[in-house]
Amino acid sequence: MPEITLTGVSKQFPGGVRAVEELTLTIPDGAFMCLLGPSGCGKTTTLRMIAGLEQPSSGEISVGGRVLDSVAQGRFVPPEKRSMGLVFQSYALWPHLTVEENTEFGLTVRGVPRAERHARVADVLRLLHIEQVADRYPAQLSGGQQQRVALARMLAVNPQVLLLDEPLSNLDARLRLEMRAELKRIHQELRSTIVFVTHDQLEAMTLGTQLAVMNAGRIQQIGAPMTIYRRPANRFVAEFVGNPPINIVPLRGDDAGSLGASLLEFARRVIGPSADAAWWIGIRPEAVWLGLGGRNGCWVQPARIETLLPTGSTWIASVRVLDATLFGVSFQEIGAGPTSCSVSADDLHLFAEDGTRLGPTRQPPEVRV
Amino acid sequence: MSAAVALPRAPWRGTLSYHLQRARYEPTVALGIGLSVIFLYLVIAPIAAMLSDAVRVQFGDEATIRLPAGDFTSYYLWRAFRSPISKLLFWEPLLNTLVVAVGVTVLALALGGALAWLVVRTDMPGQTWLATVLVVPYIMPSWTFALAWLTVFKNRTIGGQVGFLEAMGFHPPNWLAYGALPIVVTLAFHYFPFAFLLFGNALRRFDSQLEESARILGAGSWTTTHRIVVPLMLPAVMSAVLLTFSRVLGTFGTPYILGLPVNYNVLSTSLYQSFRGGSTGVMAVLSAVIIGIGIGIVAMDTWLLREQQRFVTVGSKGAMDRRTRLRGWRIPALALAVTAFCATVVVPLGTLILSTVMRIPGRFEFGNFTADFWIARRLPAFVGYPTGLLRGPDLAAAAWNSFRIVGLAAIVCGLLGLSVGYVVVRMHGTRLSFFLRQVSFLPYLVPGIAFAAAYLSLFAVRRGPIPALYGTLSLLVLVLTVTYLPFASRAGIAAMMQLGREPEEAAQICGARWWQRVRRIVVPIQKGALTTGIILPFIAGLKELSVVIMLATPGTDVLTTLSIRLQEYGYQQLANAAVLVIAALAVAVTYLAQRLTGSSLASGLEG
Amino acid sequence: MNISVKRHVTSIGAILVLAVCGQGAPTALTSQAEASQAPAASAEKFDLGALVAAAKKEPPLTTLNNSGVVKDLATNFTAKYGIKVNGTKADSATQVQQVSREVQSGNVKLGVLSIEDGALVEARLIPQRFVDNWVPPDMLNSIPKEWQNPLVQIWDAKVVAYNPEAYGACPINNIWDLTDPKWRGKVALRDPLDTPEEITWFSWLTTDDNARKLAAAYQQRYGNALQTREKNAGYEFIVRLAANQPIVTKSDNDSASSVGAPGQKEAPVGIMSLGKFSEAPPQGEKLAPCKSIRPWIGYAYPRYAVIVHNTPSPNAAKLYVHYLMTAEGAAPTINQHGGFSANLDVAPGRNEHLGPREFWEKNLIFLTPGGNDRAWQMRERLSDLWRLNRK
Repeated sequence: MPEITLTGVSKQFPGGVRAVEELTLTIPDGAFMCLLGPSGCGKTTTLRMIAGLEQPSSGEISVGGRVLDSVAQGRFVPPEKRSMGLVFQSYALWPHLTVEENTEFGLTVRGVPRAERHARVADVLRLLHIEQVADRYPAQLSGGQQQRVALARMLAVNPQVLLLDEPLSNLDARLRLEMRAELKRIHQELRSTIVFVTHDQLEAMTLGTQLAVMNAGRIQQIGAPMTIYRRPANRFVAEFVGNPPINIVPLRGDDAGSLGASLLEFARRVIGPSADAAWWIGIRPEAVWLGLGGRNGCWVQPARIETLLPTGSTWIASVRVLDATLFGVSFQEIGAGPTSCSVSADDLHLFAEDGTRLGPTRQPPEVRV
Repeated sequence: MSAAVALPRAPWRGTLSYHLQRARYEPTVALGIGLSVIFLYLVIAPIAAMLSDAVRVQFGDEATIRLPAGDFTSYYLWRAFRSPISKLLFWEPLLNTLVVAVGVTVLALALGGALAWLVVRTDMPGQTWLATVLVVPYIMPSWTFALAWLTVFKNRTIGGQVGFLEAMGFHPPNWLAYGALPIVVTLAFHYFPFAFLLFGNALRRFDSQLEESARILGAGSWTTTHRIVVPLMLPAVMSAVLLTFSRVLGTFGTPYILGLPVNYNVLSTSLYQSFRGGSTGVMAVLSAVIIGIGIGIVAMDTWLLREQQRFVTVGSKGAMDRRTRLRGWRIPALALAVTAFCATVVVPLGTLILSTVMRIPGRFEFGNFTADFWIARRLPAFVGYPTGLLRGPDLAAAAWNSFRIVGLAAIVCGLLGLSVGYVVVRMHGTRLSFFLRQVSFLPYLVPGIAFAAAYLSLFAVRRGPIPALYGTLSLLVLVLTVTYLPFASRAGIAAMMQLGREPEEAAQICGARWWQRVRRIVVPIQKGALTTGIILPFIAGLKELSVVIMLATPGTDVLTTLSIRLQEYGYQQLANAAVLVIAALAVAVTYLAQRLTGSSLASGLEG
Repeated sequence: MNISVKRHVTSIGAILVLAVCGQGAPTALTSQAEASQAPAASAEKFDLGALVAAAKKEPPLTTLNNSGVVKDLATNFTAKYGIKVNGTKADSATQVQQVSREVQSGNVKLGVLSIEDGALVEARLIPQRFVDNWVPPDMLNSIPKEWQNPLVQIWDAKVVAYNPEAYGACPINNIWDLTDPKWRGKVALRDPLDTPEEITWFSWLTTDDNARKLAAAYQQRYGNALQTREKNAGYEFIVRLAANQPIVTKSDNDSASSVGAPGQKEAPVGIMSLGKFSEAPPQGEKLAPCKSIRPWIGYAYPRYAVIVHNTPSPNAAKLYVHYLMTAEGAAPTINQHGGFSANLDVAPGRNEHLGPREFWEKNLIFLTPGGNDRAWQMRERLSDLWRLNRK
């Protein structure tokens, strides 16, 4: 299973919209790479370019060392010859063919003999637990079943690379969870390279071995999910990944008694003068410890828990500290009212004026260029 | 973090090779360019040829103009616009055309609008049935009503058999029997289904919550209507106005039958007279004017479409269909609708049927009734067509011609329309897609008879690879195909938009080459749309007169030209019988098609 | 997609437009294959048998004819020679259109035109080599010279007709009655704009000779000389006729219905062809020709027979023309309608409504081929005159 390399790929649509800007990315072979970002960030366009359904305005795309798309070299390999699989967000099942015919289509056009086709299709349908609906038409299937048919259709031809465009967004919560597990299992069994596009950060976190966070056509950060979570490259990544979202506290332009000033003063003390370059401080909700009367080496302030939102497994607390409100997460039942909140220095993310993360830099960021 | 990598500027050879490779696997681009060029030629070239004829000395006129044939001359322009005869050739017909067009539009809109409101927005009984039958007047040939009118109202002024009223002793005055009034009324009867359908659709989609919000805020009934409903209906109104106006502009049959006898000329009949008289130059000038007006109308339509964007209703909930309660007015409303139906369907058809079984018009005596005109073996007085209509070879020959010419044109049209839709949607957003979409609508600009005139000019002689086509069936097929292309394209684009690009892309990813995906995925899914794209032009072509009247020759008569020829020779009963046959065929095919595709063809008729 | 398609297509379009306009205006064809058609009369030795044999080898002949008798002619011809003929009724304008475009396109299917619009034939068809004139060599002496170019096949006539049920005898005896207020709105005739022989007749009315006769007839009718602003009495007649609210019809059938409808106390009169007096009237019309109107009761107009250039069946065409000039070829017309063949050897028909040839020559204007040029040149002017004076 090959690695996918995009070099300096840009895409400008007629009408001037620049969907992707100078994107350079290597997806290692066997990786489950998630392209994560808000709508309009260019992730689907990137996926389609890898598939060959869109052509880059400049740049080069190659898979396993074989150049698929390069204006400079004058090479273009059409989608039908790229041996990839793609699952559309809308599944795009063919309504006039049965599940079996949908699945075997790729084999049919390759001229695979009937018996072999039949066997292979049976295998794939069994893999996805939908062998019992082989004779039905897509209109007669449930959402989850249609999803699996789309997967089956993709897998039937043994593609080198699997591309998935927000395939789970049309499913309900339970089904989504099931399908995530399915995908993970398929990834492990087949060891294929998977590129998965989503706007749901939880999905990306749980599924991917590698994450590429994108915004406005550019990659903001590439790395393993936990790295991205713990060491976000910039404010955008920090705010996009994590639920509930990270607390961002502005440091400039506030008066002395503000939360920002207090945190800044603490940061200066603990980290040093480099903290002066920071314009914001980010604190993850789970890093906001409540009601323990303070821990050593932490920043502590008296606080007041104003509202509690129970999620079932946790409680999200909105906590009034000084002049601002922070969100914290507690795994035990707590009550509203006065308390104290503390944050350890390791959990303070400092962001420069342009959003780049300054620290703390306990571990080097894992990024491949 | 991604690092920007600067690539060297691509050498032109690489770019060329790249695009060639892309084109190899994506024939859509080549298809799109090919289609654009072909359509451009088929629309622009005839117009260019015709404009050329308008300013060059035609053969046979050298003595009058005192210049050799082929030289540039402004004689025809002078003759049409400034000469003493120009009043009769152009200015009066222009005025009459505008009068008729405005009259028809107003009447058709009023009738269609009122009926649409009754059928769609009230609780009047019989709505489903009415919604179907009120479309029938459009399915019949446009001059059916003219013939029926004459059958009743024709007086002695122009000789020939008189109508029922005259025969029974009444003397219909000229202004009732011929000219502007009957033309406007009969054409309005034919065209009101347009307005009926357009308004019906708009009203159906109109969210009654909009009205209700106004009411809750305290607006009275009248204020609500004129400040909320009417402005939001404006797009539909404008659409109907322009569609009707443009159709009336090019229509030939009705003014020919009802206007010419009293010298009430419109532009299309004046053009026809020039054609018949051999004045090719003047014919070209008149065609140019008609086309100019047609372009003006379409330009206005496009401009209004842009304005229309303001009227997109905001809000996500679907339209609520709250019907107005008529209470005591239910029966009168039904009576009104049924009267409309009788006046536009039952009476005309009934009159025609009656006339075909009566020897002498207006004499309701037993001995006067006969089936001769339908089935007699020999009608000695009718030289040239000496048999009952159903017996003789002429009807069968004409029907055969109709079916194969129109059938072929419809099939080609349907395929082209789907191809256009395919290219436009697949290349959505590109300039080629936009261009092709515009070009495929161009034939709309050229009202029927002027188009035929232009084609005569163009294809009289060999041009490049295309041989001269006059007198051949190919010419008729070609002209009909191009005439109905806009409708087929619109249907094709709508169908392909509904399908989207993804099913085909999925097939691409699975490894299917272009032809494989078209054959296995696109065409099977679009079977229904393709069928509709073929059937609609077929029905329209069956009853088409304006376009074919100048192109059909005695050997290639189709049903519609046969009917007019019989009318010209004064064989009234046979002419009426022929038009009844056409109407019956058109209705039958429409009904069949509706059953086959399971869709409401009424929606396609809006095109 | 970054192809500047629009630019390319615009230039292609421009090229196309130039190509189209660059093609010359309608010009006369320079035909390559001249060999088969010998124009006009030639004194070659005429072998009918050889002609028949050659004709049999050719494809079926297609012919157009102003009159519906073409169907009978076709049947009889096929019965006689075994050569298939497709005959279709078509008016002059249609015939001219069709033959012009067929010859120009090089795709000729027609063989023979039996056409009544001589002016058009001489002005457009013959000079442009769309049709050729051919006189059967064995009839050169029996057809008067002035009827040979183009070849006249048969003479038909249009005369003033009245309704004998309404009027015992013909109610008019002077042609100026047609323009008299007494007959306002009660004169039926075919639309001259659509009826070539009628507008040709107009041109004949304006010759010096005929205008003098008209002036004399006016004097006789009204007692004083004709005052006119027009060039001569002929033009004045046309102007007054147009202004007298005539019943302008699309066909002789309609004129016949108008004049002859039963039960009319004040029936109109009308100008119509001989055929209307003999066909079993479909609606019981009553019609009879007027036989004494000063200076004429109407006009005699020819039906010509010409051969289409480059026809695929030249010998069959010649054979057919020959046939038309015989008694059998004239029979359907002159036995049903009246009239007489241009071939003076052919005896008059059984159904002659007017009288012998001498009667014709005395009471009708003959629209002979010699006047065709003039008729053509005046056509537009006369059409305009008619239209401008219509009330």
